[in-house]
Amino acid sequence: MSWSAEIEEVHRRRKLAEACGGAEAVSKHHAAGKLTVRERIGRVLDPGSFREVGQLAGRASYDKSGSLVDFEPAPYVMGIGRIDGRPVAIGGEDYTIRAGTSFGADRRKGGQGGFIEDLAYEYRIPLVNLIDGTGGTVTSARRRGYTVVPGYGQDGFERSVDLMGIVPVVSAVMGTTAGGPSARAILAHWSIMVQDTGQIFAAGPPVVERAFGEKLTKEELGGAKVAVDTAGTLDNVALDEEDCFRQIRRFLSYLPTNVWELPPQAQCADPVDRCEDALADIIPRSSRQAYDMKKLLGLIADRETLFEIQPTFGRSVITALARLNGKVVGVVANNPMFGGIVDHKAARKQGHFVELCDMFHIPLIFFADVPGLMVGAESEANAILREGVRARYIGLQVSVPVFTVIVRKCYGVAGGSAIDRRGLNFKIAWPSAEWGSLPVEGGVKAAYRREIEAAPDPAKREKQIEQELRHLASPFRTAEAFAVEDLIDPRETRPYLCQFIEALQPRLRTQLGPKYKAGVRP
Amino acid sequence: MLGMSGLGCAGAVRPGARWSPPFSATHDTAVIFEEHLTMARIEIKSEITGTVWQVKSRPGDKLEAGDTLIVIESMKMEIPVITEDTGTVKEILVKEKDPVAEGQVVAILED
Repeated sequence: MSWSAEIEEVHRRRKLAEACGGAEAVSKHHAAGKLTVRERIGRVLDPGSFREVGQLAGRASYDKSGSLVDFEPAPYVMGIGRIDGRPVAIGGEDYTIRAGTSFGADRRKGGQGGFIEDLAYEYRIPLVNLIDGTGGTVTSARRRGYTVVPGYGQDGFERSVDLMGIVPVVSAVMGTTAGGPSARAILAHWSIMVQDTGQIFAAGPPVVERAFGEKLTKEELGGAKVAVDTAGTLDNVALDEEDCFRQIRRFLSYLPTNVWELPPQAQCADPVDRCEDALADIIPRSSRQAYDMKKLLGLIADRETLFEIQPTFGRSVITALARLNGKVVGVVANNPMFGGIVDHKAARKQGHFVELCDMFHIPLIFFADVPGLMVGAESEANAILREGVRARYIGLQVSVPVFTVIVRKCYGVAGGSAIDRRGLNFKIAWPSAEWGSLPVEGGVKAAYRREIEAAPDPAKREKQIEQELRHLASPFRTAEAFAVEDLIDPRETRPYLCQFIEALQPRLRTQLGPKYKAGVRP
Repeated sequence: MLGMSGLGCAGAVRPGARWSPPFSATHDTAVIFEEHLTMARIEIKSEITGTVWQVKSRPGDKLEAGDTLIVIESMKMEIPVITEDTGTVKEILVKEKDPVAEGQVVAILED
């Protein structure tokens, strides 16, 4: 009556699955600097926490007596595990088996429409996609006997889209990916690519060569330089796979398990009342001179907690997750090292980040030093107005509190995007702050042209008017009028922010759940 | 296997490729090689396109992380090129008013 033979068979088949695509394929994969999907999953998760689902799925062949003679595992490995003790769903293609292409079962294990997506959706837990697959293959037409319209069967992406509204989704591009898996990678709240071994494109070099006669390497077409730094198709770059796993764990440490929860608070060893003297003179007296905004942020946030999203794309704005007294905040800061001017890329990056924070109940802090939107023919051709106003539109749809620290410039449409007009409209300024619809230097000639031209010494008159206006532009005058809510000693910024971030936590708890927004983005 | 050729053999000599034995290496080249092994050469790049506004350091200067080597003028701003490493300036590759492209190496440091 014992089932020991069958039980033994379960274990034997698991062993077969763990061999992936066989010793030869695995060693080739390792030689290319890549870990197998099971090794990757094991390293992303808390040690020993992986519980695999569907390990026995694959293609088997049997002899006449019904004994298994050959088994090829399904080229997708998935299951659940824990990161920092919290449950996550995780899966990835097994590149060592037919380059991670689908295996044609009625139910897909992972990728768009796969079981692991359904699990993340039903259980309301984060999903981690480790992408290393080349997508569809023409061999499925032969198997099926007919061809299908895109979005057929499991391939519709509707579950991937559902997930974007309820649980954190992370994509890591860990090999060369095209087509469906590429699209799957994009449907994430945060994505990362492993430098050198990762490439992503709509279609690879052979297709591009056929279409345009242009010969490109896969790195030129979709390596990190293009996909991350230039296009912002993916968010961050990892130096290697270990760095990738570290960054995935780090990103998720700032996010709640789903939108019905608040982000996890951390113990904070960094004193709340740490007032750094360096903040008193970090802003140069000349508004032409740049300074290190990342250093400024590091002096204010809890030590070692700044985690930049899209650090190499649209660099005139810095977007980072961070903590203040252990509570998660989203930081948006203009970067004077890149002029601080919002160009079309920076605007796109800012809008996306603001929406990400709003969705996961992360309050926002703007550190404003922005002279305006990028001007000029090239910028107009890049739709700067549309991109810039879209960032503003997204900012006006958020329901998390937004805090503004004006450290220097705050001008124009871009400056307005740093202000919480929808909420409390709470702005604090440093003595180095200046603001307006446009900087005095550019505006005087246009506004007072007739008066200047009529003066006996036009150049002198222009200087005089500039001087008058500059006196009026003192932030103390605005603070007297309560048109900026506070003007503070820069060294107090950390304790000031920590206390308000703590005080707004009750508000965050009142709006848990998905956020639905009406309207059409410009 | 398709797609595997050219992978996994970095550093190996390709069959048929000509390879000279190191018999012709002179004493000088050996010394230079040794220097490369012991001294790390740090390339300092400009992260933005602009023109050189000021050169702030000279060969032989000892710099610490965060020190400014060069100031670039771009978008009406003076933007410092900063070293992230401690080291000695070996070479400054630009002079005032030179145009500089994003990613261009503007100075060399040695640690």
